[in-house]
Amino acid sequence: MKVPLGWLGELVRLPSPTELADKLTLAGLEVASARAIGVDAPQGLRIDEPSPPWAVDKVLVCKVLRVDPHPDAEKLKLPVVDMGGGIEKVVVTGAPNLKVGDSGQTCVIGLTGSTLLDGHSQTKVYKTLAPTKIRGVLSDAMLCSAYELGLSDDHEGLLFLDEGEGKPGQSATSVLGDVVLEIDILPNMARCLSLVGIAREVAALTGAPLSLPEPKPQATGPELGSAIGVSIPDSSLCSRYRAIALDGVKVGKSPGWMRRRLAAAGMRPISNVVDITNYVMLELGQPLHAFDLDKLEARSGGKPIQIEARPARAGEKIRTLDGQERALEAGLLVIADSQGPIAVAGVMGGAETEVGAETTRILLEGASFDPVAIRRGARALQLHSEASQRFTRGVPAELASMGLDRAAELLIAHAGATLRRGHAEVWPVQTQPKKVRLPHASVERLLGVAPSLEKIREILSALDFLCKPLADGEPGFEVEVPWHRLDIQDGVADLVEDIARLWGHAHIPARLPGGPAPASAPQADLEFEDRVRDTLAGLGLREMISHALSCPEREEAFVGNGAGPAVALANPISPDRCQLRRSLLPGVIEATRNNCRHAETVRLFEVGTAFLTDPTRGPFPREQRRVSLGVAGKRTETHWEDGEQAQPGYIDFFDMKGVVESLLAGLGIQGAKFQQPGTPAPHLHPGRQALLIGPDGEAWGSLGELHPRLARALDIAQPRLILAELELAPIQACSKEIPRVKPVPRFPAALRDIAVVVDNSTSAGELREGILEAGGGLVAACRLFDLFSGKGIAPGKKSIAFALGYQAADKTLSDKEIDQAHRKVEDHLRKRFGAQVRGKDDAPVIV
Amino acid sequence: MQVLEDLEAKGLAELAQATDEALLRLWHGNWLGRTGHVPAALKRVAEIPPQERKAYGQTANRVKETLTGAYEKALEREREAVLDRELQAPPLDPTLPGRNAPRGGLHPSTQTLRRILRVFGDLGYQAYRSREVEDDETNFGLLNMPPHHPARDMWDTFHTTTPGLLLRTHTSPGQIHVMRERAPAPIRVVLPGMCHRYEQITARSEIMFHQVEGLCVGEGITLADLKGTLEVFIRRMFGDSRQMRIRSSYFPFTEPSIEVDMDCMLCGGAGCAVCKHSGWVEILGAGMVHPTVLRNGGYDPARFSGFAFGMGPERITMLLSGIDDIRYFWGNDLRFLGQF
Repeated sequence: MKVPLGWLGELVRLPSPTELADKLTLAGLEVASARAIGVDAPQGLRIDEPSPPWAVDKVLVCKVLRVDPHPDAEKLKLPVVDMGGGIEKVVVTGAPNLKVGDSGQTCVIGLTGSTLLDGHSQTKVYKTLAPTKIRGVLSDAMLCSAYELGLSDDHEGLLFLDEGEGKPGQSATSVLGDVVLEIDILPNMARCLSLVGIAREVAALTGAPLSLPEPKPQATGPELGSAIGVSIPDSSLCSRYRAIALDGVKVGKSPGWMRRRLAAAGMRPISNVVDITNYVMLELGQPLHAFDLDKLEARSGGKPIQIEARPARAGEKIRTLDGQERALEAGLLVIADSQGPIAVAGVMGGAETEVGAETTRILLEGASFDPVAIRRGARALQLHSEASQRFTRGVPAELASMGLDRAAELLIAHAGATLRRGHAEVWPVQTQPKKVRLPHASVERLLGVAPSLEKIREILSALDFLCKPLADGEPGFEVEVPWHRLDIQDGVADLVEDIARLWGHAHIPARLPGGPAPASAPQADLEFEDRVRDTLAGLGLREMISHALSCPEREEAFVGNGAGPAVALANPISPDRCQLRRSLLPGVIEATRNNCRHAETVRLFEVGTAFLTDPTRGPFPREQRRVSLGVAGKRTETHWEDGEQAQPGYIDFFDMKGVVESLLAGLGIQGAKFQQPGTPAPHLHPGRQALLIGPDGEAWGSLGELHPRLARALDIAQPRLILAELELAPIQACSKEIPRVKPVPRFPAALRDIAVVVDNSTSAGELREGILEAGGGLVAACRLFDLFSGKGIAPGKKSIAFALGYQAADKTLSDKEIDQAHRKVEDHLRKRFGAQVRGKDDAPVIV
Repeated sequence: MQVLEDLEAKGLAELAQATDEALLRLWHGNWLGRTGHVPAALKRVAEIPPQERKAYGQTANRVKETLTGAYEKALEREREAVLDRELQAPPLDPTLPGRNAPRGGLHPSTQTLRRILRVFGDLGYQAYRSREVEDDETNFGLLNMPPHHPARDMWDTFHTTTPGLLLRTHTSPGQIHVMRERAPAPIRVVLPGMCHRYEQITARSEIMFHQVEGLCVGEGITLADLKGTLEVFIRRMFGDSRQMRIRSSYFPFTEPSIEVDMDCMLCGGAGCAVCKHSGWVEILGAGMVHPTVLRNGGYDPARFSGFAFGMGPERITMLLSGIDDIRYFWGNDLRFLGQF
């Protein structure tokens, strides 16, 4: 809400703009910015459209004495103006609204040295006036347009002040200067969508007295009688509808001060009738609507006009003020006469009964509509007006008559109108003022401290609350809520909020909650996720977070056939963000690829949610927490000592496997296995992937190289992008944060190597398991150190070598014991895998 | 005896030829090792006539001592010489690049979230997670925003194609979940999580962001307790000298509602673009839990009271690290992430 302080200052005495803005902001009326018109910008605020102030001795009010023709140019004129103090001045102007022979207009003149907007520039540029010659006539001053003064965008002609606004020689600042505050109005502060509402707050905050308009229009026209009838079939949709009629209206321009105030408040001046209804809405908060009474009568065909506030009927239509033909959804609240809708209640009037230049008689509506009904109407028609904004937040029924009276008063004064006696009105349920029991203790109960009863009474009274001591003698008040406080919902808490607000939060002490504290250990899954993050960060991976919204094309390759449909959005912001993700991998791939453009090595991980639908679990999706990893690029960054030949290799499957193994070790997990999947995951290279299987046989996720076809489709430059995605819950179930410690071996390990030739189909993991099994607990370490096939090895076979460490917990093993154990291992491998032990079972080698 | 004298002279002469540690050790093996010349000479004492044996033994032992002493001295001298050479080597150029050790790290949002949770953990608050896909009732209705409530306009919402199901717009529905789970026990929880809003993605607004909601419910909880709690938080999070200011505000689920500002870290209160020239920056919103919300959570507002607060880790990170574009957060550019 834009609040011109010149206007507000008429309702309540104001402190400086900065102090006012500060007080309002702390009290919940946040001043977002300010605009200075011709005056210095207030300190400590963001300034909209900063502009230099008008020099008080150079931008002045003057009066046109006469207008002479320019000797050389037909379009130019030479007005002679009275500058006050008997000084006259000749200026040059080309303004179309000043003609040779005119006199008596009050204008603003800018003298040499004043800085004003340049009316000749296409963009907003400030220019300091310097003397020039225009077509041979010296010009050291200019008469200003509203644009040049920064008052509006109007540069069609000079700005004329109304009769009596300013005397020649007076500074323009003293007449036109103003500061406008932009105040953010919170939903519970709808009462402050009016100057009067804000003035009430200012008065309560500063203690300054209020002087509110008290309209008492003189009704001198004929009695309205039964010419107009009003009815409301459902009072829950419209609690009050009142109409008055005015004759003899002369539609024209509204007074300059009113136009300037409307413009400063952000509303375009239109005509006196429209401007006055808008002015009253801004001043009091009551939206009004004017109908052309003659047009209404014509519609009724001579019968009395029957106005109804009712839900629209199926098939009804209306052409609104903006010229649009609109079909009305059944149930939408409309104002109708016997012929059908004439306005969408509280949103916009109809074109057929619109007030125009030819209008002489008007019917003025002041009503209170149900906020939800208006909200629906505004939504349905996509029309959000100043009026609907106020109605959707609630306009008290009591305001209708005050708004109409104020408008009538202004129409009589500024549109030559005559007010007809009487009014048409329906106000079915007049609510009694709400009363709230406010014991003193209840204030302290919420705030932790309470101002004295006297102070509470002072604060609440300043806001128009009526405080009576409690009848039962308990310290406190029975508080009567004034009609303009529709926001008071839950009595006590609302009042306590007002007390805290106006007393000042600075009075509230800072304490900490007492009493026993509940258990404070975080949820176990949150703690576990942090361990996952820390472990991976420690392994050199960088955490990333990507958008949870995805689209089918992006996910297609990454969700198996078993996955249910995604959670789809009804109102996506764009087609590529239309559903919740079911895999984190697309985000990880995208980030890995993007980073590979500028980094040699990329190692990323994300801990996040996959949203999986599961109709058996009700409407909510399963929010499955996962960790996804993506690595690509060089194994390490190139180092100068490596030289040209010894460049580091590229990351492959086994780098990722190492990361996953270290992650599991860091999480205290033993017994997980990597195995070839029965059916390869489609997004991974069919021959370079593995399933991670937990100790209980449950699949935790998969890892592998991004399928080369996908890599090509995604335009990935790196030779390989390695991915992993694991589900966290089953891993957490197997994770031990605190390990049980085994004693450190006290006796030395004896090393023996074993190299065997086996079928290619025999996996390293099987061999390793076989060795450990046969070792009978004496094999403490088993490290694969060589894998070889090709020359010297039969086709379909491979040579694989392990370094074994034999060790016992209770003694140093003798050579004999070690030999014995080692033989057992060899025998086992021969028997189980058909292995040839190299160096022992080799076929004779022919040299 | 002369044999022994000769042995000694020969040993010393050969020792003098050993010019490095390996040769010295080889010499030691040849001369003093188990099968070396000296032990062999000592063993020969049995072949010596008995009357000469004593003298032979004495001499042999002296030769052993002499050679052992000479060896140790030579070894020590050689080691010293090696050390000297090592120390006199030309110094390396310490400005040459180090060998890269991969550095991982946590996302800035995670880091800020942890700092926030740590402060509240110290104050006895438990971290609690609730679901991200919510129903309308929990996200709005039970938080004192019935359908068509004008305050719903404060949150632009992503709706799913299942009627009534939406992406939570704030972590506040977690308040309802935790209250219904724990009522009537006292509560101190912080609810971290991802929230979603229907917005255009710009430097200032994102469709997805973290929030941390705090909730304290019990008997005798007051606005003063909230103020003290937030003061501790701001000092711990932003430094001891930070000033805090409370403004009245409005949230449907708290009453009274407040907004908490901190003096601007960037300009020190003088006024700049970050603080919109006011000298203050908004840090969080808070208030006393609305009686209707307490009731919806299963707490009798006549007996229990509580406070709640909410803040955005990304916004806080932006203030702390001077980030001017929120899109960096989910952009996952290592040149951004690597700075944390």
